[in-house]
Amino acid sequence: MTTRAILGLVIFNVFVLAVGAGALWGTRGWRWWTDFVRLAGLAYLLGLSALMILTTFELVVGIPIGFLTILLTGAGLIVLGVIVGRRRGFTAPGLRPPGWRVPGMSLFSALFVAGIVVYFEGLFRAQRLAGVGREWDSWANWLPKARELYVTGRLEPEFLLLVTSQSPGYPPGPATIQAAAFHAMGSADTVTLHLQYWFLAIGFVLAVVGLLAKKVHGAILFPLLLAFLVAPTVLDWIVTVYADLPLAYLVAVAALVLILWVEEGKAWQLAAATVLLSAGMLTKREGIAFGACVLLAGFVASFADRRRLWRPLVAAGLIAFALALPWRIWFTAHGLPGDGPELGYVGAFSHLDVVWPALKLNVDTLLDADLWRYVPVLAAAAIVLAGLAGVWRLSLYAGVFVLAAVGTGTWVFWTNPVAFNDEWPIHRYTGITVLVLAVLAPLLLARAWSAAQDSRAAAEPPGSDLLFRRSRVAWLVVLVGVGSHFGAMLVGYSGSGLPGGLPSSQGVSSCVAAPVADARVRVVVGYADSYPEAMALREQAHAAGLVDAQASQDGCGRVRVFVDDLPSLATSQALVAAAQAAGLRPTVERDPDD
Amino acid sequence: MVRRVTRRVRVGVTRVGVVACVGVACLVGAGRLDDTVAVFDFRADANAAASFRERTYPESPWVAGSPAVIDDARLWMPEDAEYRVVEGRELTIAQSSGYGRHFLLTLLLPRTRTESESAPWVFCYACTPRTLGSEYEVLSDSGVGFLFARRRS
Repeated sequence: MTTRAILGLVIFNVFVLAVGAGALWGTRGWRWWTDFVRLAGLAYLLGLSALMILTTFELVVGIPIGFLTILLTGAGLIVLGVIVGRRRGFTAPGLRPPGWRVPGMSLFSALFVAGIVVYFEGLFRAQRLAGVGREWDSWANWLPKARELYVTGRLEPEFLLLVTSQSPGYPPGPATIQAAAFHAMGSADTVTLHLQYWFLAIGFVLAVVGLLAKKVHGAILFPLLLAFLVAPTVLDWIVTVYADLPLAYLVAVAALVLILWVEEGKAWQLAAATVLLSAGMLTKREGIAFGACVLLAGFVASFADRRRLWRPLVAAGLIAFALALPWRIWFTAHGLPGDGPELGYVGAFSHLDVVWPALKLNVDTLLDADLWRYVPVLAAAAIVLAGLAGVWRLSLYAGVFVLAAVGTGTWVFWTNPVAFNDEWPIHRYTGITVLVLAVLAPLLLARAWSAAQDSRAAAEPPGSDLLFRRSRVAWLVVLVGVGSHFGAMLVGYSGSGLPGGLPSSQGVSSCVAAPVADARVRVVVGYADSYPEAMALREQAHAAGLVDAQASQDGCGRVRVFVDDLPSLATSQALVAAAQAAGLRPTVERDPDD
Repeated sequence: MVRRVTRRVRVGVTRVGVVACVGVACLVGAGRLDDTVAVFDFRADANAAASFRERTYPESPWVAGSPAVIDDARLWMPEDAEYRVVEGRELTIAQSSGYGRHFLLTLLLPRTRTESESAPWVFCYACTPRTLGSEYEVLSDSGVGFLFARRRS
């Protein structure tokens, strides 16, 4: 929870972006750096996915995951991407195309972009000092594994058997990223770890914006994105140290890039979808189910081109699964229980009475306005409108995905009746479906709108020029969003409870109070990182004549050795002098017991 | 003629539908943003006001009153220590180790848990200081049945 930890995370995420840039260069290349900036979000998610896949593989073959391993793995991926890109004939990119200018934006879009900026700024402040106190799955599954990886670099079968909240064979992908984040922060800082999820959320939004920027008018894209971001369930989970939303980011962007491949047929799009789906399979066990749903939707949507598209699609599915397979082979070879359904694959058929409640639970949760603020309803309307406008392929793709996801969800809750015990499993499962719909809905609406026009010129949104005409001036509105919090601080208002000042780091200094006149004080002989050290220090204090010296926790993770309950600053001076004479370095603090 | 009318109706419905969807998204997004930022501000205030312990340790009835005990344990045990978790029979709020085992596993790494009775360190759930007997020296007591003790050498 220090500035150093935050800086470490920033550097780590730049590193992830660089790894993804290597992967993107190897598969796609870019002529202009302006192209890369547009696809930076996708590159980030690719970097994260590639690191997750490779570090899991390293775990399987027995390579310890430490700072150096992560660094070399990422560097290796970058070099590999550069070499492949060179061999494919990609030349060094130029800065920008001739005549390129900063893209304009409509005032209408700018208002929503500014809203998204304010959202992420607020989210950063909210989560910078968030604790893990109520994040049960973190304690029960992710953090033990991440800390074990951070400390030992390995996940031994004996350790996994101790982490009993999930099956020992549960995918370890998120734990490898968390461990890498700990290395970047310099400690297993579970508080600042929340900011890693902030970076993931930004990466996801940038990926969607970059992929859709040339295909969807901002007047459609940004309001829908903001509507999704403010959904209550998203607010609950967006920076919780769980794996549900990270899985959703991977599946949603994979689903988007896969349908773009079906429509445009560019090989890098299928490669990106493959890597993202594979990382999803290593993130949570549901990743396999959602990967299957995306691929099924892809098969149905590409039925008309099946001779050309189905073979590469089958290959993509097999490669995605093959990349996730080493972990499954490893835990099976070590005799660890798998992560299959609670009732088994056959046993569930003797509980057919659960099917209907499971289906109803899935549908009700998907349509619950209190959870999602109508995003699934909007997406359903978008599917219908796209179908009505004749945009069959995309409409079919989204429709099949929803049906497959609800069907799979029904199977999940049918075969795992324990999941009915509380509401969280279904919220978290459905969140992944909702996220896929959230990224497909803008594309569906844009296609429906375009298909309902007679000419390209008429494809612009209706309304006054002032609101919808593209202009670079609209960026000023975004800048206001960027500066909103700092501006509020300057005029003396801050909702963060830190009016007018820079945020404090809330480190060990928060357990040290400066002495004030007429208040009781304590003489602190020193702080220690363990009781044995503190006991030795206390003995020194006793020998120096501070016979009342005691040792106890300071409330910030250290042991304080001190003499307390002194009536005033003046009365402490004799003790300070005695301690100094014995070579100790005492300080005086306010005694908060006063 | 019918075909043309059908197409015009379809186009009209599509256009109205798209505008309506975007309109609803605008209302939801813009309308809820203020509340969302207020939620973030509330969380920022609460998190900034929380103590080191409140941020670091879980809020759970399984470990009620125990952050101080766990911190004591972390500060007493060397990094290569082995500890045991046992359960007594005193009916208190911490009557079972339950999730507490997970918390200990996570918070005390790289120290390791063992089932060996000769483990030099022990956590006791649902215990009083007498539960462990004279063989152990109680180093920290939550007051609600959760203890940390050291085997006397």
